[in-house]
Amino acid sequence: MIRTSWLALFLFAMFAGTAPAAPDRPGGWPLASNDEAWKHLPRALTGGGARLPAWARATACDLPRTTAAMLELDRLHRTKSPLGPSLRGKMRWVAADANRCEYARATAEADLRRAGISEAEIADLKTGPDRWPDGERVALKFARQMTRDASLVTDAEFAGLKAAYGDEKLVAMVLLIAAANFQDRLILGLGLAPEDGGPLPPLDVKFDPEAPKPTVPARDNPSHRHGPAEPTKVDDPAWREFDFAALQRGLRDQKAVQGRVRVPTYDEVLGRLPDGYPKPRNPIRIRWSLVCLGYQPELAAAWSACTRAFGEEAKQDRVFEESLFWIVTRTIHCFY
Amino acid sequence: MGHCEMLLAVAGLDQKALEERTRLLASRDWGSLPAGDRAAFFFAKKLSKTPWAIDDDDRNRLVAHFGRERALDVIWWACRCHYMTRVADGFQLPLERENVFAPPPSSNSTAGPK
Repeated sequence: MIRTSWLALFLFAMFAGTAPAAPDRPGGWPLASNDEAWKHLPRALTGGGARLPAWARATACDLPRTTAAMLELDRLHRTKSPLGPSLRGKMRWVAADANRCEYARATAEADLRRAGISEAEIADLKTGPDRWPDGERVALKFARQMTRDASLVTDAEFAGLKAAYGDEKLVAMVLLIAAANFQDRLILGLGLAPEDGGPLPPLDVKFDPEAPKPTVPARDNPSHRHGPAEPTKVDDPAWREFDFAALQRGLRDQKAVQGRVRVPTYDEVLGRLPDGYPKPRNPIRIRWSLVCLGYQPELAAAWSACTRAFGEEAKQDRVFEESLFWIVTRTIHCFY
Repeated sequence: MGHCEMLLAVAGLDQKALEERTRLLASRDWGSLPAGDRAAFFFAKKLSKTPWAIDDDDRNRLVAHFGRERALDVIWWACRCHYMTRVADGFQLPLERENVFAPPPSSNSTAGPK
């Protein structure tokens, strides 16, 4: 009875706003039609009107520029990553499998077929590590461990990959797995089913960087809403593993680690920034930004475009969103 | 300070408020947080460990607390955290000793790229 009432409230809340999204199947986030989604996205120079993936139809109305940036990020990882179509497709499949994301598994599998990977090789991939090719097994195991629990990847594992692939490809691997863990959670978080008619190829669209920014719907003020009662206690044994002092020690230890890749200088990064990347007003001091932009400028810039657009469109309360980030880092033991 | 604390400082918390905030988040008693924040944090915890188990009830609760548009923001942001943490855990770079997200002295610019 209670569950039914909440379903009714949810459906009312979903459709009470002005956004045109409408459900086309039971459960999951409401999806805009393809035409409606394109009406909200920024103007496209080429490729406009093409069939959009479900996740883009779920986000286009409320986060239009963010969605455009996510489409570009998705295309780059699936078509331009220096790992090549076989390894990047397989690593993407392994990450999706670890996240139990059927949508992304099917998409990665379709990418592998388009790249000419044989059915036998795809079957081996799905069988597990014992059947993975010797030349790719370490990278595929890395993709799985980074997805299941990245805090347990060892320096030795990382060093082995570095020796085999070099810094640039290794950074591309990390960024691919990072993007996969973002995208899989978006798909699972929104409850999106695999595409009707099969997975879609990467969308070859170029948005007009000079296009006016689409308007975004106003957000409700959460303090004006009255949701259901929520637990007040964190009833999770793992939450007791680290008290505040232990967490502070973890942060101190993180200051003393050596790092697994050389951090490029700001001048090196400046020389590699892709066209159109907004020139920083001050030298970048964040080490991992220097690493990502220094070794994989296009992939890193595509992610930055997503977060920049999201920040401008969502305008969340900063303390709230950084608190949520804190909760995630604590949950998965990422002392950062 | 970790990056989260640095970003909380950039968000406007002074040292005392920052420590109070992180102590509260690290505790097992979130009773003093607004119900919507608790819903978002529990959602983020579940999305972190068992993303495949997120269901309509989890989404319904967020929408009830935040409205559809803001609930989508919360979901997107929770997902975004898993990009950042994979990069951080992958490279294991030493944490910077100063707040690298704060504008340098005599500058009014915003934080660098994330």
